[in-house]
Amino acid sequence: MVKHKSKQGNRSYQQPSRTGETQHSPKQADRGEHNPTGTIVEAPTSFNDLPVEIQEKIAPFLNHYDLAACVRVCRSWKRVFHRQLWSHIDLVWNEDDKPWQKRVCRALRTNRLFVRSLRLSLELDDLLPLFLRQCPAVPFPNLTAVEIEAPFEDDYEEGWLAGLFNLTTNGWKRIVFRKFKNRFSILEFDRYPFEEFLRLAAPTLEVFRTYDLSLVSMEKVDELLCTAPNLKELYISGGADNTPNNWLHPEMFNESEWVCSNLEVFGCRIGGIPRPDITRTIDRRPASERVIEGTIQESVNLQRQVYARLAQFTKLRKLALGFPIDNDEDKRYKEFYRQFDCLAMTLDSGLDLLKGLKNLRLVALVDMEIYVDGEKEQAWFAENWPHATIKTEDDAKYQASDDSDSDGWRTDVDDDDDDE
Amino acid sequence: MTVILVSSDNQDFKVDKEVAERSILIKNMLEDVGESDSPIPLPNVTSAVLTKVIEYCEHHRNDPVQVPEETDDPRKRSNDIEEWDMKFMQVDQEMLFEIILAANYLDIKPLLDVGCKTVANIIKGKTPEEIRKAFNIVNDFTPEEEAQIKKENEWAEDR
Repeated sequence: MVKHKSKQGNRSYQQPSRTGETQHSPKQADRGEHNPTGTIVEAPTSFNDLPVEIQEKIAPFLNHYDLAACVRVCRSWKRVFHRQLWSHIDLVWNEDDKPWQKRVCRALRTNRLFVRSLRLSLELDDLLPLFLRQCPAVPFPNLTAVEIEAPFEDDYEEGWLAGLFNLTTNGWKRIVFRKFKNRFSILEFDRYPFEEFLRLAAPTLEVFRTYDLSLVSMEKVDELLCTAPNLKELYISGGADNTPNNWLHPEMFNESEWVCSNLEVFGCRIGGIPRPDITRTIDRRPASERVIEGTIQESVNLQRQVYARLAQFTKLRKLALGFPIDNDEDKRYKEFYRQFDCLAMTLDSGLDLLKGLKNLRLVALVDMEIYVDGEKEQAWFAENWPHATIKTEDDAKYQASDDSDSDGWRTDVDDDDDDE
Repeated sequence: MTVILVSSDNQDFKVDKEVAERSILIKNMLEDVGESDSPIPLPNVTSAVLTKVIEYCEHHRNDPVQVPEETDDPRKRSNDIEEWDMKFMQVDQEMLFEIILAANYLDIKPLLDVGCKTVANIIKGKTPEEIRKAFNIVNDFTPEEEAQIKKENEWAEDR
């Protein structure tokens, strides 16, 4: 919301800056055909004439390299941009730069009141405990957002998550875990004490995302949905392994008491549904070898349970049920990981229950055995989800739009810094 | 239906109500006074700037209301300015800042956003010295002070 700044006065406007061309005709102006430029000669308005509140609005469009330059421009710029520079910390931690890391941690302590979000990219897993040891306990009173990019391969020592949790005093609002670059890794919620971390964070949590991490336990996700009333974004990508632990199950939709009624992004696999309607040959074998057994009626009943529960998330903007499976082009591999126990996303299976989700902008159904391309379904989409883009293929465009849409804070940084 | 806006230098601008209401300030004023033909004085906006602002509002008269930004993402894009807006913003710096001030006063958030993005795009990728040149700013740091600041912020400097 933009505030009027009538009370503060409009510094530049108080000088009666005058245009040279007084013969403007309102009618011309009406049609916007005028293009006056450079007509004011005295007391030109400059950057420093902008009220601080507007100068501060410029900062979010700059990355930390640019902000660091702004801080060095002059004293008045430092007053505006120093706080902005330190509000979002983005660190790349390598193994071989210990003195640099020490200096950075010292500066972090000095500026800790400004820090609101922290992104750590760690080349090795054991750099995280190292980072945490260099930060004093409870150092960042205003920190509410954290993103950790790490290999997630080694066993972390006991208590590292507690150390991470205790970096803030006011509770976490945003937590993102991301696999470091292209390394294969398995992040098991059971293997690390994530359970405790999420349990503690749940009351304040608004955004929880994991990227490219397999084997995220859906029991914990279910628990989070039951204990995080403020949750707006849930996004669990990865999990290509076909184990029951990888999907949210229809029973959870029916039995769990989910409290997050403000959910805007739901990105999570749903599985465990019998799909007797799938009869095609899969990977040169009969479908029966891959599809869960059950009658059409059982299948539809379960699906209707799921749709009915999803329909209660009336604020949903993004619904992602299928995720691109790695970059492997091997077709057999694709078929192996394709989901055959998913929602069918057809009107016959109860899709119509979702017609109230008018805010949907993106529906991602990648690598799932669905039949949305029927005429009935297409007409239904046009009528009921007029603004939604429906992605069913694992194309590069989807991946790109997925990243920018789902995780705005990285996009600018990515664009500018990839080629550093 | 039209309304009359009066710039600080006393020029009348007759514009469609729909166009004028792109400004939340004017929209609220119109709602407060109800049906009325009396001109709306805008003592903070010169005719040159108001001409530009009206041009913007005319072009964007049918835009849907902006969806509020999602959660507290600390970083936003500035490379998504649409082509017409980009051309519209090709003015000298003084006019750019005048437009920003007017957009803030008139409460036209999309225009304020485009203005801030344009300023950000001028800053991007520049060294402090290049920024000073671009905005005609005098460096009032001593070399020692500047070196000290650079050291403190070294995590954010190019390595």
